[in-house]
Amino acid sequence: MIVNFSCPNCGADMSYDIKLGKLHCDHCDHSEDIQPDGESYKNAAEEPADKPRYCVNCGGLLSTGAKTCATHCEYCGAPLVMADRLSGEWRPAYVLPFELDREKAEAAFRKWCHNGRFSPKGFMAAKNIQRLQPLYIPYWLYDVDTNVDVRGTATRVHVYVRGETEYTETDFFDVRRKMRLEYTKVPHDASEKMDDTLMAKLEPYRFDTLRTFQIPYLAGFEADQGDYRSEDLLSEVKQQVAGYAAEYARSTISGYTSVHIDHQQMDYENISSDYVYLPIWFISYRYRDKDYIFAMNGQTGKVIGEPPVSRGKVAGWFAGISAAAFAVLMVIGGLL
Amino acid sequence: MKKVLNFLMVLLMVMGLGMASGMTAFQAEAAETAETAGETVSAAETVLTANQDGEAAADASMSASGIYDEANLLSEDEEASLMAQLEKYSSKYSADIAIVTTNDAGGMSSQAYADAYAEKIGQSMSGDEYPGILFLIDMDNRQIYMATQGQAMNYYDDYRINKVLDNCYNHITDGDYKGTCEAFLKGVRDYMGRSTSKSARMDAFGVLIRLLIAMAIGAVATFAMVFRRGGHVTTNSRTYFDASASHLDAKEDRFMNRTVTRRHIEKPKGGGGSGGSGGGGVHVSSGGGTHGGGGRSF
Repeated sequence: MIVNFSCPNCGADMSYDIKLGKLHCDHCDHSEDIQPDGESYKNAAEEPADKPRYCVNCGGLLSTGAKTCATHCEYCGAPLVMADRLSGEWRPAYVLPFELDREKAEAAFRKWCHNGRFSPKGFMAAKNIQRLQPLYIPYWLYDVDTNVDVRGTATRVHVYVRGETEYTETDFFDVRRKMRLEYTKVPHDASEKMDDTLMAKLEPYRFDTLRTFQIPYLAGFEADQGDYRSEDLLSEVKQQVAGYAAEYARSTISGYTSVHIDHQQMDYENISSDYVYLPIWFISYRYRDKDYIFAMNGQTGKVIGEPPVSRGKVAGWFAGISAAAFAVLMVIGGLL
Repeated sequence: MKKVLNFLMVLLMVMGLGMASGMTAFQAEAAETAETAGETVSAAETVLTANQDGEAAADASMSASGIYDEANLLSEDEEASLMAQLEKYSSKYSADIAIVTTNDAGGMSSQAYADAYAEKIGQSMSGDEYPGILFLIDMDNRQIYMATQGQAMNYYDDYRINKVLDNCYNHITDGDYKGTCEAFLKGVRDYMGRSTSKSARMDAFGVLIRLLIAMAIGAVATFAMVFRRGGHVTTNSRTYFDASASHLDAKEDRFMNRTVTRRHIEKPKGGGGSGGSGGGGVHVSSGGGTHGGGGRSF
């Protein structure tokens, strides 16, 4: 079941406008508030993957992947959302709408690669920058309660001198901390193709602006269905939370010269998870047989990835700066 | 991390290349200088062989420039070759340049002997403005000594005198007196007429140092501009922590026992001072003239 949003005013395609936070028609400037989805969307049965899909706007045959949830028609450019892949267990509970629009993303991109000062030829071409895409990445947000019980031995050392003798006093303590720690909305991406460590670097997101998911939020963006179910990622998330909890528990054992943990027990309770979409701006670039990516948190603007660097340009800058510095040194002298 | 390392490697390679080309440029330059110097010397030599008698005459009249080989350390050919260079620099820098050797310092120190000799041949009498420099190989005291008079005192500070003496010393220890004198003349060429103020001191070494510093600046600046961390984790153990819902169930810090160890400590011994180093600088000779200079035993 493919959905697109026609303007009730002029019939042109509407897409979600990041600045307005509404569906917007570029053609007649009409905008519409996001309405709650009808039941037909929420419960739409997923169509078989091998069944061909046609654009509801122009009838063109779509060559989208089996997991694509939101995209554009490659013929008419209409924003399309596959509602049948966003239903049932893959119906997201929330979406974190984009807060940074294309203009801001492109500015961040230019800044990130120093306005192309070191970039390979063509990297900064308008055509290339146009490939910067807004993506909604499927995530699971976990709430986990942990019970931590930590026991150990701690010492407090006191050194003092009386006359010609140095005394070292060592006091030994048995320490124990038992606490209940709650972690909320710990994110883990549910996408197989997105690198987990890169995605972790895009965190944190502010989850206070999470919205209940509605289909129109995806109009005009690219989104795939998650590859992993909540339970697939649980052990990784538990491990992550265990690290947090252990660190916290140990941080409360303070005022000692040394602390040695003899025993640590961790239980998990009240685990729950929500399927959500989180926003990123993304571009990948292939240069000298290597993939480079630029990714920006679509909410906070945090940027990750390393830009491709042209060796020739770097050598040129190095030579130029060195020559300038050499000239200055020869003129002012004074360093010998 | 690997990428950063790769990148550093590339930078180092570029730096290395830059340095290599810089060095080649220097060598070429040095070779060129040597070549022209060689030509001039041979030209001057021919002039001089024709003037052998004239030289002797100058010797007799005690010119402020010249070679006074009283200890007979130099052969005639050697003396002629040195004289050619000496005269070249003497006219080039308008300076009195004298090389003196002696077997008998008459009980004087090298410094006193050199100062007295300079006054005797008229170096310090030429007026304070006129630069005079005298190089003494004193076989009696087994010392080499450089005396500077007039404006030359401004061109030769301790640093430069030591540099020249360093080069001379390398030859005198081998008994190479011609080489010793040539090293001295090289010291004349390098420094005469050049103020000791730091900006003016621009020998090949200084240029090389500047080049290296410039390349270091270039490398650091370029690296700072190019380097982009691929982003890093900014979440920590508190990011997703809900403090309001968390609570402490048990907190125990139970004292168990105490151990005490004793160690006898030695009283620290007082330290000694460090020795001072000998000075150079300007002094007044027995003859009343003001001289600069420095020497070295061999």
